[in-house]
Amino acid sequence: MFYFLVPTAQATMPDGSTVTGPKYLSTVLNGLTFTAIPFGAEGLDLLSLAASNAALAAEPDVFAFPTDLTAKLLDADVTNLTNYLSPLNVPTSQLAAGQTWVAVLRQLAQVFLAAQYAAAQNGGQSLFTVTVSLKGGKPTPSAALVTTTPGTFDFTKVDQTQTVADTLLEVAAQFTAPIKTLNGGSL
Amino acid sequence: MAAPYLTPLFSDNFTRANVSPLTSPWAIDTAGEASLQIVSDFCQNVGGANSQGVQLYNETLPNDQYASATVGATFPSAAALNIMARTTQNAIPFFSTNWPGYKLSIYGSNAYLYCSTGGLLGFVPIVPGVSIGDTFTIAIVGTTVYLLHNSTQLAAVTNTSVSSGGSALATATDNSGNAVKVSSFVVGSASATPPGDPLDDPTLIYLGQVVVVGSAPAGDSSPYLGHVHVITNPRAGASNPYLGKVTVLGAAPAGNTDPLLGEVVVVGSVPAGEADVYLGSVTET
Repeated sequence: MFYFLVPTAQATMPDGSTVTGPKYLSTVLNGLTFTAIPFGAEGLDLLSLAASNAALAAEPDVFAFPTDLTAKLLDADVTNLTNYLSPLNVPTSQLAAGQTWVAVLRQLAQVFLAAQYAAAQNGGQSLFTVTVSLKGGKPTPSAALVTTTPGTFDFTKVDQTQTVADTLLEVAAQFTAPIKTLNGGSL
Repeated sequence: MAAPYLTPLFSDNFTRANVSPLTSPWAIDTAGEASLQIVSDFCQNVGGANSQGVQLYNETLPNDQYASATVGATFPSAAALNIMARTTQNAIPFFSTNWPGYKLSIYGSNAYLYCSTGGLLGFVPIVPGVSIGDTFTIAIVGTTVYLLHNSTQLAAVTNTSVSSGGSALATATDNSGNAVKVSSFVVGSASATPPGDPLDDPTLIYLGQVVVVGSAPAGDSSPYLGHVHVITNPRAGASNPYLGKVTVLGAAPAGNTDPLLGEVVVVGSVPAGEADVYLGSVTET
């Protein structure tokens, strides 16, 4: 399995409906089987493909995970991934040299699922631009986020003084089941 | 890839007089969009070229659910079939923005999986293309969304956005007016594990209580028999040892007192490799 972080974009589908989907859907991804785990409504997908894709990996706004997911992150890998994720509001404090890439992927997927749940419970809005207030320059969970109806995830016990990123990281760990990706793969 | 187990609960094969729109349990969404109709025992949308129609199938479904549609006629290469699950209506126009819930869309020879939050969840080409009689299914079990083609799982992906809702069907014609024709629509429950053993159904005949008395022979553990279901034959696929058949007699044979537990027929020999079975003794209570 080959994993990529790909920004999303609006696309007009064949039936005329407009949807959010991975960027490059009509170019380097055209005709390729994939599954996607959206980062809630934040504009980023964790994409799984059946084969490597050099053209997609070469796009400047795409992050391609290495083929060997059992390899461990080096300091430079942490820096590169942090630099990619931070502007996209994805938590990065969990990244550390020595982690395996598959462990990083699962943590990210858990965070993405937590963001999906919270976004859907709050009208499909971005957690950072709509339902979150800014305190001290850092986005912190708003009442709307903290009172998200418990279900797959329970946000009700999070500390409202911590950042949204830390909140997502904390809550994401509640998802303990395998995370399904393409062709029966899981994280 | 293991496909989920599907148990049909409601279905419509559209084999009745032409009607437009579809009537209960079908319902028109609150956005007031164009609807579906029956023409010559097939379901298709109302309208000509480049038209679209959608209707909700208002049967109550468990959260772990599926919806399937079967293609009844040649599938136009530029028309669409949409099957929705865990959907609700909230006046959002289906064809203009993201309809709430999960959607499987078949367009030409491609399958798209969507969620109202986050958008596209998957894409799979249908090889070698869509044929008459093909059945497409969207199923959701817990947080896993499945895409099936003729019971074969094409994709599965985890998503946590939508936890409940019902089903809906939508179709669109191509720019020549060729319609997608659906021959059946089935909804039901979905499970990642096989449905429960039907013999565990507490409404089945209860034979009575079996008490093991005495003691097991040296070296054998005391068996727990549990309760006994009456069946006529071993279940398909059941592994040995098969105890045999328990027959409940209508009346006790002469010389026996009621209640009579029945007659236990034990198979002639223990299957190869199995230890000798000790039944203990059985008494009535």
